[in-house]
Amino acid sequence: MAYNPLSEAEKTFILHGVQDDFRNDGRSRRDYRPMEFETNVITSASGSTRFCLANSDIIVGIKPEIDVPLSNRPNEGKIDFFVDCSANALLDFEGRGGEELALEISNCLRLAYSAAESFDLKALCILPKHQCWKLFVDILILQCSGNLYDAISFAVKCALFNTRIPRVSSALLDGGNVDLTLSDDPLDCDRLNVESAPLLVTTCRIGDQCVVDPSTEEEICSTGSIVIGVSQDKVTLLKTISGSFHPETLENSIDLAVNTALKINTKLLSALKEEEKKIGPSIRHHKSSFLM
Amino acid sequence: MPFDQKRINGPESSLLYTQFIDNDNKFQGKNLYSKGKRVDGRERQEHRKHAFLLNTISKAKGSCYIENGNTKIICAVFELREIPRISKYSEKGQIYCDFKYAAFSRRMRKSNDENEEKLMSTNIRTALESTVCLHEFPNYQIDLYVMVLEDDGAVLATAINGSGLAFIDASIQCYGIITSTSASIINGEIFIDPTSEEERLKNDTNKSKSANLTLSSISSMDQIPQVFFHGLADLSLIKSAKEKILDTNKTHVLYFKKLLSNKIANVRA
Repeated sequence: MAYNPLSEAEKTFILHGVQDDFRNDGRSRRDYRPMEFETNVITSASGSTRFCLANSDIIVGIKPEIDVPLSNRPNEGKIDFFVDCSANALLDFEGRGGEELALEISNCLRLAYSAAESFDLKALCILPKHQCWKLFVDILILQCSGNLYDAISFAVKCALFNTRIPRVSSALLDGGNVDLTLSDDPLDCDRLNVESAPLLVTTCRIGDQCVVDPSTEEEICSTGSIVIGVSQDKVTLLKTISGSFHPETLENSIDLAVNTALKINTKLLSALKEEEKKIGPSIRHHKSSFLM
Repeated sequence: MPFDQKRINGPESSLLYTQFIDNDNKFQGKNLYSKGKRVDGRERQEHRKHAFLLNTISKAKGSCYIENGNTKIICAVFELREIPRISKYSEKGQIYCDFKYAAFSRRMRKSNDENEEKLMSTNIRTALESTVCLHEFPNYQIDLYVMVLEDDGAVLATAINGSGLAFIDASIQCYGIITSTSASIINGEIFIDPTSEEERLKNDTNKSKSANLTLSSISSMDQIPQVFFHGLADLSLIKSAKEKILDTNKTHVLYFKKLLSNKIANVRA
């Protein structure tokens, strides 16, 4: 992604490291870099999170709006993803450079979340055929250090967990017009079920082996990469990003991704619940500043 | 953004009339596969009849018109040109793919779904980037234009087949013949080469865990340059679908090779 010049020797070093199951930073092929997240960071959004995967920094804000459901799906709400690659992240993203990547990532998210079992859109329905919630998921990439798909999907899951949708206390259909009454109490909200929200895992083929969570340098050395969306134990998306795979390598990558995603899912959900229990739904008060 | 500003659009709130008709039960539930045959009489693993014609567009360097059942796609490859708007020298060539649905091609008149077209373009480009010898034309770009005349399922697979053949027709060096097949996983069973109704089944009836997998392979080199799957399915089903698709791809390579060699024989004569 970034223009990061690597010499042949460096590339060979990375290749050998992967073969020996000991990457540049000491990880095995199956390890992720350390992750940190904080939810409820943006007061104006109904759900938000700031997610850091090593040096990658992603901010996700979710806003619900009231919309009319699609005519062929009257009982479902809508969810819309928008990715914004800030020029701060990579020089390549300056101007319209990041548009293609942003579109690809948002497409992947849209496809991964399209299955009913992974994200239940029926929970977003207010009044069938007339009103539903539309969630706008806005993702901002502040810093990129490889493996954007994964970081963004984890961040989206955290933000969805954090989202509080105002509870509709009554909805009246009055001659074609809908009269909605939302609850007055700002803390009286509905939460979303994100147990099976899909996680995207990128596996890269470097040499003969597959690795998860490639860093920027590893991405440059890779001969093929594929994004796998996993929801619980089912696969919800498979998409080649670049390169080609041998059928056996492909199977190994998918197995690796599914196993890793399952573990991350449990850890992520427990961390989210713990954060909520400890800090609660209150707005964060930072001692020094927002990003520091 | 949601509306195409270059075209005259119909009224904003017009709807497709078919959603007001009671869905005939052909594709809902059992009739689809209970007797072992699909609605169009095929077996589950049977591919539809397909055909292709090379050099259909005289102005293009290479072109291919491909039919797969009722799906009709035309692919054209144009002359090399320098990669526009880049500052540094690129050691590998690039492929620019522009995929479009004709306005009349789908069940719903063009819904201006740019996202869908961009998605298809990237998938086709990914597939061909590993097929074409890009190092043969550094700093140059090949344009590939794909237009779907009718969409009756397996569009991505057919488009990749057609694009690969168009590149061969354009005499551009490739590592091998790329073939692609689509499969739908409906209720735990695998259906090769779904029609658009079988594909759509997953959208309307959310209860059935159906999904769609498109896989391209270069059988001579045993490589899979592109895989695209969306929906929800068990890993084991995806693996067996993958195996079936790879077998289908292999048989198609023989068929393509035979027709391509006929074409070359005709040109020589």
